[in-house]
Amino acid sequence: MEILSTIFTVSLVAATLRTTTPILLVALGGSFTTKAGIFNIGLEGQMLVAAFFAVLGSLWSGSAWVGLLCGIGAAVTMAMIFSLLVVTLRATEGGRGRPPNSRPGGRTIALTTASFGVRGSIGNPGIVGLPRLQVPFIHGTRPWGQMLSGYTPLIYAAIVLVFVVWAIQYRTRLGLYIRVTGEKPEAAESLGIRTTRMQHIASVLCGVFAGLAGSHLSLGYITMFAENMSAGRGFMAVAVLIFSNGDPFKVFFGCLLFGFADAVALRLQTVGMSSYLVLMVPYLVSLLALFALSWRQRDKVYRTMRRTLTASPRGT
Amino acid sequence: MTARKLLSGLIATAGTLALSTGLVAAEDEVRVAAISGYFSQGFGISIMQGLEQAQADLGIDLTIVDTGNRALDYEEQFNNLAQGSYDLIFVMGWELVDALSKTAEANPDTRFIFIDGVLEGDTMTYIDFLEEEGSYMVGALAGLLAQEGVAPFANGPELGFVGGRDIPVIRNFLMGMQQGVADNAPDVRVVDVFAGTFDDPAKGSELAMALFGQGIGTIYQAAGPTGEGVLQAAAAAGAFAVGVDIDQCPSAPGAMLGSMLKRADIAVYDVIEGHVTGTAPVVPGTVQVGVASGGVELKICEDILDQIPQDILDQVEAIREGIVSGEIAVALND
Repeated sequence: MEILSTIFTVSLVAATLRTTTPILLVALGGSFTTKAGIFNIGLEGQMLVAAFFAVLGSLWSGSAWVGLLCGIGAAVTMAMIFSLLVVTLRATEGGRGRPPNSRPGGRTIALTTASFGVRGSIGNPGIVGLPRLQVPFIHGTRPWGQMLSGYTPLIYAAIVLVFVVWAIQYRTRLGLYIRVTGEKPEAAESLGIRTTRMQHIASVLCGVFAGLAGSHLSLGYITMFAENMSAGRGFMAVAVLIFSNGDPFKVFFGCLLFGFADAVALRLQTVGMSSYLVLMVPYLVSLLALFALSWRQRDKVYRTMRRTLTASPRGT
Repeated sequence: MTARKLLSGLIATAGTLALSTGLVAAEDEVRVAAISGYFSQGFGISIMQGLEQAQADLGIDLTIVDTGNRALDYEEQFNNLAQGSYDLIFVMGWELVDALSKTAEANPDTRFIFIDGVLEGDTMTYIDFLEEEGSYMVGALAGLLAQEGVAPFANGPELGFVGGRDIPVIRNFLMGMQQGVADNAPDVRVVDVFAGTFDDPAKGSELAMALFGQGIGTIYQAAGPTGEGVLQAAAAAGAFAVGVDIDQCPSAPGAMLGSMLKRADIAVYDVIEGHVTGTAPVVPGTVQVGVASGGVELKICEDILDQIPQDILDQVEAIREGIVSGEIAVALND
């Protein structure tokens, strides 16, 4: 019981929201490309580049919001390159996805060296982080205040955006076109929908979200940049997307479950459980849950997975 | 130490000194090269200081090779060095290990000195920092503060440790800290967690927030960039962290208790000096650098120094002397 009361505290809710947000933001972006029939493995790279340029923008302008815009701009640029290669030039997604992922690692190293003369990380006190929002009335030391107030804006935004993304996909003409493009491209063409255009739009929307995710990581979650600081969150989002088929609420569920399991797991360590065992739990739990959830569409999931595996002939 | 301090005063005139030694370059001048991609930051800066000081007062011929980010020609760079008839070649950076091992095997008579780690291969020399000794002192200081309930550092009888991955070298930090706590503050317990990665500062901050949330007042981190998240979390939580490798006191002013320094400058200088004067010519094997030579050191951050009671500072100094004299042996039980 003592162990349970150490783990299940008010701060667990806060930790869950914090660990969920970066993956949720980037996965919501990936939801657009998934719906448009593009398997976007470039999420990790877009996120990392956004994290870097967000810090750069914040440092040079002195404003976290300018940093955020720089991050989004950088991720959108990456997304446009990705969609140019995949949609217009018809490169295989895996084959093209790999370089946009692996290069930002090296590119950000080269850029940090060029801009700051250092390698590894930028932890300059001049980086302005996003403010923490104090929700009126409930802010305070009481549990509700601790649970709901005092986060950086993108944590609130991420949850609102789940509904926004759903509304775009299921309540607008653009959303409909994007979904038709992904599900029945021939039907879309015959209806006069320009599928390549829809895929470009989906890619750019994805870039915006990946930009939010990356900027949140380097200006919201913490205020610094480190090489490879996205640390696999983009790939985790890809896994969530495969199993959720890009449905915004399933994506939300998958990411929330991952965030929760992650937050619980790191608390399990403080009561003495082995890090090797515990660190694998969140991945296992959320993937199993999502797989169970998409059991009825398993054929589609297998197809996507097969496509993923065969689409990268050069391997990683 | 005093001689070294005098010399560091001479650093300002190092340029002129280097110039004059250059003019009288003799045939038997010791030729030293150093290769790394990190000369402009943290640990690398420290290595550069040691090399430049050796250049200034030992009159060595110094060549610096910055690998930059060109992973493809590491081997070529090493081959060039091996053929450059250098007496000593310092190497720093784990990404260079493959190229280094190949070159060292092909050129067994070239003295490659790998800084901060012991590799396979018996033709190389390794500078191995005894991080457990410095970590022992971290454990002693933080443990004493926690045991005596010194505000604002203590917040209950527990201390935290955040490691990068759960690997032997990181365990050395933890074991040193645990021994320092057990010997000097037996009522204090160390709660250890690992991030599983060295690249994820967000995860480091999350782990630290969990520990601080459980009422832990001070966390010691050995986790690279992941650990920088720990420092930020300490600042946000109004708690304290202890840094590692380099002086991290400026990273989170007011939230840093100290830093466990690996003084690469001292280690590098001592190795060159021993070789030049002939008292300790460099041979293949491991050179252990610990608290005794000053190569490993606990720096207490200056901005909070006056908040630590004098008797604890005295005890920590006595512990340092105990490690130097060998009275206190920090053992790794594996």
